[in-house]
Amino acid sequence: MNFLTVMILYCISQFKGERSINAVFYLIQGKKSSQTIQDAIWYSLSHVFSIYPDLKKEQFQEQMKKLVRLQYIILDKKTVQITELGEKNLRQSLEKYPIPAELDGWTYKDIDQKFWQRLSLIVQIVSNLGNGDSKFMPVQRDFYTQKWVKQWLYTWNTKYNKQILSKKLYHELEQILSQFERKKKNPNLFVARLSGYQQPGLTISQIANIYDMDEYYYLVVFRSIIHYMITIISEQPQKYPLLYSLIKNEKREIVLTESTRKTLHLIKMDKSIKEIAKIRKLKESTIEDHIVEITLMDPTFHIERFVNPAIQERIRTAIKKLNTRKLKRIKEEVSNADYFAIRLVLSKWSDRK
Amino acid sequence: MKTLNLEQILQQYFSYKSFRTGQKEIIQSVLNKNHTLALLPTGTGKSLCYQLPGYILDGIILIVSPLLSLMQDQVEQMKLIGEKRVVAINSFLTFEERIYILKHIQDYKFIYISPEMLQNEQIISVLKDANIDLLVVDEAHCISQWGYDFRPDYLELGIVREKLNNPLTLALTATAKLDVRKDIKKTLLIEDAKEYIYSMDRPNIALQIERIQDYPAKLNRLIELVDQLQGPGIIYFSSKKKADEIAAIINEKGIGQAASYHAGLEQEMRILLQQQFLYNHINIMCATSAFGMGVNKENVRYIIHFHPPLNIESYLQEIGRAGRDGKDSIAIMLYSDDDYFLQQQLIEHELPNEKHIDFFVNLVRSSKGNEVNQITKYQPFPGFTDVHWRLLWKFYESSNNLQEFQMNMTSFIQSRLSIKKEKLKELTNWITNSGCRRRNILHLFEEENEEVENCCDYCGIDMSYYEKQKPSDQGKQILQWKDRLKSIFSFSD
Repeated sequence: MNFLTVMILYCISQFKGERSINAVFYLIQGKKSSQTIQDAIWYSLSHVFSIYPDLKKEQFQEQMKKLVRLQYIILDKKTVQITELGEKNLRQSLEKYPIPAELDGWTYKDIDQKFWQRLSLIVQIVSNLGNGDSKFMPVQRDFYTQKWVKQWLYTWNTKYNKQILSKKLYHELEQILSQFERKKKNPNLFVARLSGYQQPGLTISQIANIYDMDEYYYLVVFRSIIHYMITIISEQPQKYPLLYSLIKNEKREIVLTESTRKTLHLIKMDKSIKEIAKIRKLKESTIEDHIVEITLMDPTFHIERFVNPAIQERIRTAIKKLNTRKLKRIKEEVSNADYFAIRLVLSKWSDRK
Repeated sequence: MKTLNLEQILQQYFSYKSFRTGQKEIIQSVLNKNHTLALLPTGTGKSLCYQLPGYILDGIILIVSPLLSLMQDQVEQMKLIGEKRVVAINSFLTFEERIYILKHIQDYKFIYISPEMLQNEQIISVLKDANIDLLVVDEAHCISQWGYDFRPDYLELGIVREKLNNPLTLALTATAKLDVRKDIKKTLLIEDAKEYIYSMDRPNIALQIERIQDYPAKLNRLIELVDQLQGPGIIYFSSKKKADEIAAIINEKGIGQAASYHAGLEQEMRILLQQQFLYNHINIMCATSAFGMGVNKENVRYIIHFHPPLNIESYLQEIGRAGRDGKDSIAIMLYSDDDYFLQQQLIEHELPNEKHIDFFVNLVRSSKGNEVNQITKYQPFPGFTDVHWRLLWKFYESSNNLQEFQMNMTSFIQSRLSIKKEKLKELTNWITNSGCRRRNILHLFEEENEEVENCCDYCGIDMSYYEKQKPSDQGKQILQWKDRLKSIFSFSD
C-alpha cells in the first residue's frame, strides 16, 4: 500500500460510511466548494484537505479498485465504507508512517506552495549572486513567482547589501530548522531540495529513495515541514522578518460565494432569515445554506441568534454520544432541534484539527 | 551596411571566441536581407543564427517553435546569457499573462511563439504593428507532409507571414531531405531563399549497432556497457516505466549515478535533473525523447538506444547530443527484432484513433458547438495527448460539418500512418543492412561520407577509446542538513 492509498483509506474511515467516494476525491484534491469544506470540517479532515492537489481522477479510481480488491472497503450506490480488515491495515500503516502533526492543509492551502516557490528561488539567487554567478537556471519558472521574487530582492537590497541579506536569511533558516530538529525531526528532508550555486537540489523521488519512503509519504512530510515553518514564522514575525515577508501579504481571506456574501450583508443589518428570503426572493432553505457556509468559513461568526445555547449543548452531547455526522440520527436523539440547528452546530463545533 | 565585426559581437554577447561551422555564413546571409534556409545538424548551434542578428537588427526577432518545453528552455537559456527582453507566447500562459505581454510587446526583443498562437487574430494584429525584423521558423521540416514530424499548424505559416507583411525570414532545421526543403520554401513563400546546407555527419561520434536476441539479453548487455563506458551518457527508452526501472537498477548495482527523465515529471524536477546532469552529480540519464533539447551539456560521451527511435531523423537528433565538445564519443543501438512491433504501436499511438474521433464527435454534439468548446480547447481530455487534441480541433474547425470532419480526419490519419511506417522501414533497413553505417545513413541525405578513424561497427571500432578512464566514484555523500545549508550560503571571495 503506498501512502496515497493510506490517505484515501484514512478519509473513508473518518467519513464513517456517511459520504460518497466523490467526497473523498474532492477532499484529497482540495476542491473549494462549500460541500467539500463542510466535509473537511465536520469529519475532522481539514488537516489533509488538498493533500494531493495534482491527483487525477483515473489515478484515484485505480486506487479505489485496489482497495475493493483487497477487501479494505465496501462500495454501495451512494457511500463507501471501510471494513474491519481495512481498518486494521490503516492503523498499522499509520503507526509506521504517521500523518505529521504539523500538517494543516486547510489553513495553508494557498500559501504553502507559494512559500516554497519563492523561498527556493530566493535561496538559489542569493547563493549564485554571492558567488558572482548571474547566469544560472532558475528552479522556478512561474512568471508571477519570478516577478515577485525580483521585487522582494529589490526591496530588501535597499536595506541590506547582498552579503548581509544572505547571512540573515541563512541565520533565519538555521534557527527555524534547528527548532524543528529539536522535535526529533529531520530538517534535511527540507534542505535537500534547496538549490544553490552549482549544487542543484535533489528531486522528490531521489530524497524519498534515500530515506526509504514512498514518494507520496515524502510529499506529505515535506508539506508538513512547510506548514510548520509558516506556523512558526507567523507566530514570531519579529524573529523571522525575511521569512515572514514571504507570506505576510497573503491574507487568508474568507472566501464566500457571491450570493452568500449578499446574505451576510443582510444578516449584519439584523434581518431575520424570513426577511432575507423575502428581500432576496430566495427560499428560506437557501438562506440557511448560506448561513451554514458562513459558519464553516468564519470561525468568529456567532450562531447564538439562530440556535439557543441550551439546544446547542444538547446537540453536541448527542454528536459525541452517537459519534456520527448523520443529521437524521442526531435529530432522532434531539427531537426539538431542527436540521438547520444541527448543521450549524456541526459546522461551528467540529474539531478543526 | 558597414562591415560589422561579427566576432566581436559574438564575444561580447555570447562569450564565444569563434563561430562554428556555418553559423557566420548564415548570419551574414540574414544580415544581407536574404531569405535563408539553413540546415545545421543537431548540436552545432542553430539558435545562435538568429540570436546574434538580434543584436544588430533594430526590430523584434519572432521565432516560431513547435515544442513547448523546448521553447521554455530556450527562453531560459537566453536569460542565462543576460538577455532579459525575451518571452514565450504559448498555451502555458494564463489569460492575464498573455494580456500583459501583448500590452508590453515593444519591451521584448526575442519573442518565441507556438504556431497555434499565430492563429489568434488578436495576437497577429499586435505583432503586425510591432516592427518584426526577422521571422524565424525553427524546426522548419515540420512544414512538410513528407517529413517525419509534420504539424498541420505549420502549413499556415505562409499565410501568417503575409499577414505580418512578409518579414525577412530564416527557416532552420537539423534534418531535411531535398523534397522537404522544397516544401519549406514553397509553403513559406520564400522560393528565392538562399540555402545553406551542412553535412549531417558528426565524425567524432562512432556508430555501433548490436543485434540482440531478446529483452533479458538486452538488459544484461546494457548493464555491461554502462559498467564499461566512460560517462556521462544518455540512455534512450521508449517508455517512462522502463527508464525508471533501469535507472533504479543502475543505482542499485552501484555502476553509476543514474536518474530517469521524462515528460511525466513536473517542471521543477525536470530542471533539477538537468542541472544535476550538467554538474555531473548524476552521470547517466535514463530518458525518453523528452530529454535532450535545450540541455547544453558539452561532454556527453555516449548515447545508448535501449529502444530504437521511430525514424532516422530522430536517431540523428538524439545521437547528436553526444560529443558537442568535439571529443570522441559513441552511439550504440541495442536492437532486437521484437522492437519493430513496439515501434509500430508507438506510431499508431502518436495519432488519434477511431475511438478518439468518436469520443470527440460526441463531445462536440453534446455541447452543440457553443462556448463550452472554447474552454476545453486547450485542455486535452484524459486519454488524449496534446498532439491528438490539437489535431482534432484543427480539423474540426476547418470542416463545415461533423461528417466532413470525420472524413478529413480519417484520411489525414491514414496518410500520416503510411508515411510514418515508411520512415520506420527506412530506419529498420538501415539497421539490418550490411555495409558502412555512416555511408548508408549519409546516402539517405544525398551525402557522401569522409573516412573516419572510429567509424562504425562495420568498419571497426577500437572500444578502448570509450572505456572508463577511472573507476566511477562512489555515490555522493548525503550531507548533514547544517553542512548543506552552510555550503549553499557560503561565498567564495
